[in-house]
Amino acid sequence: MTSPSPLPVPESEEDPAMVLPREIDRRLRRSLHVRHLDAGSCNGCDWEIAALLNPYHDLQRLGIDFVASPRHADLLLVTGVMTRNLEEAAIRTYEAMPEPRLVVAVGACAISGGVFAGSYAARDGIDDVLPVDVYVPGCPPRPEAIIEGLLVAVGRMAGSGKRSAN
Amino acid sequence: MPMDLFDRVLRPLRRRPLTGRYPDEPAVLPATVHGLPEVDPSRCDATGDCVTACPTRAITLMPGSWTVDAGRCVFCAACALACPQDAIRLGSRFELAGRSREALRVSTPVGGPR
Repeated sequence: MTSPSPLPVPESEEDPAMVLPREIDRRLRRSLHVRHLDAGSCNGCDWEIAALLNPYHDLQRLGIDFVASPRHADLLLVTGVMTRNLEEAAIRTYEAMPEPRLVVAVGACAISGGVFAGSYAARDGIDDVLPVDVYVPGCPPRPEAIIEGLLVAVGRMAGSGKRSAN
Repeated sequence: MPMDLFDRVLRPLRRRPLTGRYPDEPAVLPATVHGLPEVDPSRCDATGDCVTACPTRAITLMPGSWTVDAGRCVFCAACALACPQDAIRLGSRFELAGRSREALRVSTPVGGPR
């Protein structure tokens, strides 16, 4: 039988030994692996997404990175109108992701069909096919707007450019 | 020119990091950025010209309110050009992420036709 510790159980709030682990946890948690899926976009949004990895925006400083397979991803970043030809691929991509999984729709096309709304060849936005968690408006959205969308999806930002409480 | 050459070699070492600090600091925007259309309620006559000019039907005009759907808007400024009262401007608001389609609709109270 284990006897109780002779030392008082440290209060996690005040214990100085917990300050560093908590700080590490605060800075490193909710990092994100992102898979980008082009569902028939004009490549405008895709260029803005490519810009996230340039030295100016440097998305990796926020603990967010792109991966080459949906099987490695926490979040699916979808651009484009969801053309008929991409529907099957989009569903299979989503089903290949491990749970919990998030979907972010980037650009007017992915949200509502944009200028292509009503076309016979595409859906009016991706949310007929995939369950969207966060919408990022823009045509195309600025890279900062996409960063905001990713951080809103994981609760690190509250929207309208504001940080979350933690 | 030996001093000039020395200066050229050392210049990259004095350069500060280029990386932006968003979201810890607000984004630095070029002057040409087109944000979400904004209406000036004191000038709006509710003619509806912006509604018909919009290529993506992003604008709805109801009695007393002018609504733009950020999820449809393509920031083309056709509404601003069509307005006879010059009441619409493309502002600087670009951080528009929302968790639902409803959250993307931005309404401004405007008066009815004069």
